[in-house]
Amino acid sequence: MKIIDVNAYVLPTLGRISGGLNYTAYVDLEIDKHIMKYGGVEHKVRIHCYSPERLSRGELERIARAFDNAFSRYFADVEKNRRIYRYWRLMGIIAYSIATFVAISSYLFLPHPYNIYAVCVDVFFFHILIFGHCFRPLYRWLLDGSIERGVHRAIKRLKGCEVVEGEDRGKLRLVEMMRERFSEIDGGEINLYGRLRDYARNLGFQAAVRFYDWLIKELREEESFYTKYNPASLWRRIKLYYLGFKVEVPRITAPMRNMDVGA
Amino acid sequence: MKWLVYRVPRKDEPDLFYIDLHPFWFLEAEGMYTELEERKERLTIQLLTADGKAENIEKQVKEGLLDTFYRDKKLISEVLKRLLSYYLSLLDPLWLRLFLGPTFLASGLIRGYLSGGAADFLIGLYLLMGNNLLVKRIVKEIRDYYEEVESGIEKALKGLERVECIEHPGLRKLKEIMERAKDKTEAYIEALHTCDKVGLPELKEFYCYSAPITEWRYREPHLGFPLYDEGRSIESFKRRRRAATKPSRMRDEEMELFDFNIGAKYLYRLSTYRELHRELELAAERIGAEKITVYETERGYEINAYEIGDGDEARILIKAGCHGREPAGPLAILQMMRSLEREGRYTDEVLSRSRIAFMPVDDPEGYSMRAWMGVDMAGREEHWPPQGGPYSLQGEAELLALRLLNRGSLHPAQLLEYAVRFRDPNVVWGDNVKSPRIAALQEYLEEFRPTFAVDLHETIGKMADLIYKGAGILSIENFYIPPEIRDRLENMMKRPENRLARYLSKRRILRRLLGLEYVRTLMAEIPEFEIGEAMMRHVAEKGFKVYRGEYQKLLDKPSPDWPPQLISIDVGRTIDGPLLFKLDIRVCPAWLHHRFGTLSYTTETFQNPIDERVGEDLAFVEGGILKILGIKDGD
Repeated sequence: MKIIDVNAYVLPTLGRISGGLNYTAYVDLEIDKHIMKYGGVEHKVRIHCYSPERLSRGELERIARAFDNAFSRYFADVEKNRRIYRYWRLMGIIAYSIATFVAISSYLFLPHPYNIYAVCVDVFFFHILIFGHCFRPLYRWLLDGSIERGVHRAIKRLKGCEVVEGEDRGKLRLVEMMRERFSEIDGGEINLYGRLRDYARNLGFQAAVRFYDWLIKELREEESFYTKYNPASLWRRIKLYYLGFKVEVPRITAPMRNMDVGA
Repeated sequence: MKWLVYRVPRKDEPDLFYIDLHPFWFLEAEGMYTELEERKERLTIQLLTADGKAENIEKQVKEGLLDTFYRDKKLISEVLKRLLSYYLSLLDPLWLRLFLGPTFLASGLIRGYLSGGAADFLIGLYLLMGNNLLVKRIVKEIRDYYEEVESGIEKALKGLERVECIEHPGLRKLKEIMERAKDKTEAYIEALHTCDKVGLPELKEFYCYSAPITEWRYREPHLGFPLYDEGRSIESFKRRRRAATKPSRMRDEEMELFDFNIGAKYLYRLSTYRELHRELELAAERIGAEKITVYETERGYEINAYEIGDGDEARILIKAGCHGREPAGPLAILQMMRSLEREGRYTDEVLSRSRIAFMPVDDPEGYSMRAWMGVDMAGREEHWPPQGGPYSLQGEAELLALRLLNRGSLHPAQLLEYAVRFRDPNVVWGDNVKSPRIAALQEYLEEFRPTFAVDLHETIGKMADLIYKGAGILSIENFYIPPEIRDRLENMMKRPENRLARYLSKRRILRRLLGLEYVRTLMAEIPEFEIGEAMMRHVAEKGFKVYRGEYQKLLDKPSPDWPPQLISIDVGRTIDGPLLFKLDIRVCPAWLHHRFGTLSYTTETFQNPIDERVGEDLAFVEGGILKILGIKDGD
């Protein structure tokens, strides 16, 4: 069995719901890309965790379970979409067949002299039908099909994960430097993360840059689950109908204890 | 495949087996079940404990898991299914059916068979009927899928392989707190605020539930009420005053009135009332505010007002902390008071022309517990956990029972009010007040007689975050609405009985017209509406979010059967809606407007970083003060 090594970093963050200071373990792995890359190989993921302070086994296991949960969530989302799209694709095929038949039959049975305006009207509606109902579902079919096959392969071949303490001294120093920087600064939450991201960029700590970028994007978003998935606007309906549902790829994070200097 | 659960220490009671059921746990469990099926594995439970010792726990864990699953599965799967059916309703291409379908059908009929009309007819027929059948099929498919998953999870839990006990230092620390503390409530409050620090934020909710001082009685229905031997008397509490000192302020030209450099880390450290109170006292001393102790709670916490300023042009009241679980308001007041330590461009003018009263926390215990206080008709108080109040889904069964008894003559919101004996302390203001705490606050306000008041609130929590996460500040202009306008509004917002009328009433443009007409009538009577506009403009100028876009649409139509609780009149601005009239709810600012003609506003902030929530409140209040004093018109 192949062992895939992945890194996790314990980075400073602020609490979300009712406040508080805690650190967050961030596993530097993108689930969709991982599945596409290693889905076909029987493998196990070994997470090397770099933290400013030593972690107990309970805390390490929390990271492992966060990994499992994020994968499970992604698998569930893909499976749900597969069930929905089965019929959505059928709709596309039926529409495609009708459109093709109409396109051909119009020319077959067209009496002479035919009305050019009627043809224009037909072409206009075919355009909507063919592009909206056919090409887009066809594209989604191919794309989602490959994702679903990848996920199915990965479910069978991914044999869980184990978390160990990282031993690379350079990476350990990086998380320590992030902690030191965090203990020196204060300000608005987004501002704090922005400053930490810039600091990480200067250090060449790309995983932390990705993590803070994602956090800032999450916080800036003026959207909720309800407004995303329960919208009333026609535009949103049309967009979702033609572009399909996008499966959100979860990030793997787990809350850790407060490790601030002097805490 | 493994699943993580917790063994949570409690005070003077056996430890509790706790599963973190966040809103999406079902999705994760569903994926987990798929994996178990595919890999032909069995489930292992990892139990995080304080000491890592396992003693014959397997059977208990298995039974506990199944119990929890059976108890919650209906609720959770119903919520998920409801969300999913909305999500799936997106697939219904209504515009295709209603526009293209008839067009093609008509075209087919007019053009006839020979000119290609048959094909048009076919397309029209498909668009009208066929697509819809497939959409219905999809909805059925997804419902079946969830039922399959439910039974799968049940199977997985029954076929549990083993239970692994693992030590977690955070749980050890929580256990130490439980052993060390003498008082149960204090122990749970300390544990609640330690959860974040030890990296177990998901346990906060559990300690919130456990912290309340008394046993909750809010679920008792209104079929009579207990007679207490000694009811709490409403003797007026003797207010204490501490004289102000003369402050010395440093000039800060960059600041207008309040300081918007807010430290999120600093605010997060003030999670209990004691910590907040210490900072408030320090700030009050530095700015030379007069301290008035309005009331003292049973546990010895002071409810204070801090008055500052020598002018009589305006009497300004800034109030917060009515609901303990909403921390941004009290923190915003602290930030306002700290801002007055320095002299901004308008500080001197504002303080020389007005008198400002800051009332940071109405419910100190609730602030520490992150709980919601309820008051019953005898004036007794109780604290409820954040998710367990009368407005949560837990009361659904009772509500259903009442609805059956009621046979539909009462509004569901009215039923909810009848189902609970304890009411929100924000809705019991007026002449018939029974709670000594509210009576004391009322007495103080009668003496202060504000001309401008803002009450700072929040809407946060797990379920609220699913709906409102990322929304900006919302202002509710609590002006007293005369009965004749109320009646008119109620008629306008009533659900039409005729099907066609109901369909037309859903159209946005008609609703907007109705709303505008109403607002025009109202504005003719209350010209001060422009102050609200200036305040919202000030919030936007300061770079904070305002309640708008998709969120604003939620207000117009909260639920298919219910009239709106609030009616939007502008971006981020609302007035009380017919739902509140029906319930005869009079919140504190509405009472102030009715009693003294005070220009009263309630603000709601939503799930955003704490510094942004505080900043939104600050900007709103600053805009209001500058506008009413005519210092800055906001134009």
